[in-house]
Amino acid sequence: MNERKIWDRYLVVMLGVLCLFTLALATFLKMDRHMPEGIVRTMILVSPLVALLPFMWAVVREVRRDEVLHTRKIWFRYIAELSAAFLIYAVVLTISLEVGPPMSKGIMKTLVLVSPTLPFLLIVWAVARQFRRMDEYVRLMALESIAIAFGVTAGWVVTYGFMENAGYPRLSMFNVWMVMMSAWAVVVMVRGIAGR
Amino acid sequence: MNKDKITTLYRLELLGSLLFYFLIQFSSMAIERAMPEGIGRTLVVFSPMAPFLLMIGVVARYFGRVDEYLRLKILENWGMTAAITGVLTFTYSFFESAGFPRLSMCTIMPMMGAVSALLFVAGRISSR
Repeated sequence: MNERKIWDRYLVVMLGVLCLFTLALATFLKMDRHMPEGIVRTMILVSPLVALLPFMWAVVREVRRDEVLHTRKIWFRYIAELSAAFLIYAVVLTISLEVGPPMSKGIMKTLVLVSPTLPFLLIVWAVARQFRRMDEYVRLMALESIAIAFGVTAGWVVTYGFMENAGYPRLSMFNVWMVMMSAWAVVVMVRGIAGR
Repeated sequence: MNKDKITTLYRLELLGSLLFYFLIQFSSMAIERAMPEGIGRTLVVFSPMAPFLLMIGVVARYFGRVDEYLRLKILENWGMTAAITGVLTFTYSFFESAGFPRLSMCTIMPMMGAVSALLFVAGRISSR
């Protein structure tokens, strides 16, 4: 099969998946409120996720089809590991937020509320594993981006520290993480656009 | 410029900018309390940003002077510091949900410095 045909087929599958996902999401949004609790409602709730299965299948086929895309397997593995870590994190976070607040004050409540940190470490581990898989050049580029994001975060926390002195409220520590990740994403995007 | 000279110059520049920072910081803290609310007070509160930018400039200058190997080591140190800071602040945000107080953003910078220094020392010990 020639290159053009392979890409045409890939794009058709992707468009099909997008249509299926939109349809499933629209069905869920329209019908969710009117349906009673039960297995059918749960199935409608899960249906947009099922639409992602052909998407995964198409990506796996594309990676396997071409030798040039072999290196993308590394990224595919990374995305798979990261998604699994995020999924575990979401589950643990949901459980801890359900179980934790009604508990009486004490060490157990603190432990339950802190428990999402463990799956969060899985996310960090997935990133660290990806670093080990990368070649030297990509690793240096990624490190430079993280270092710039780190500098931006340092500048932001110092600036906000002064703003606190001027009367601004104390923010949650969660904001540090948000700023760091946003800065990283912006740096990667800007460097990508600039072609460096 | 040789390696020792670069390091000595960096340490001197950093120490100078740090002293300048503390001078401006304590001066602004002493002055702003007596000032009325307004643009003047805000400017005084933000004035320590100038020596802080000077510190960043010193680090950037050092980064430009060192060789490829040392540059990679510094980048690795900053990358790991960023990851550890991320994990620590993220963990503390859950402690906040458990009733712990919200800390000032001023606590992050010394923490970053301490983590970076610890990683540096650990790297030196492990390389022996």
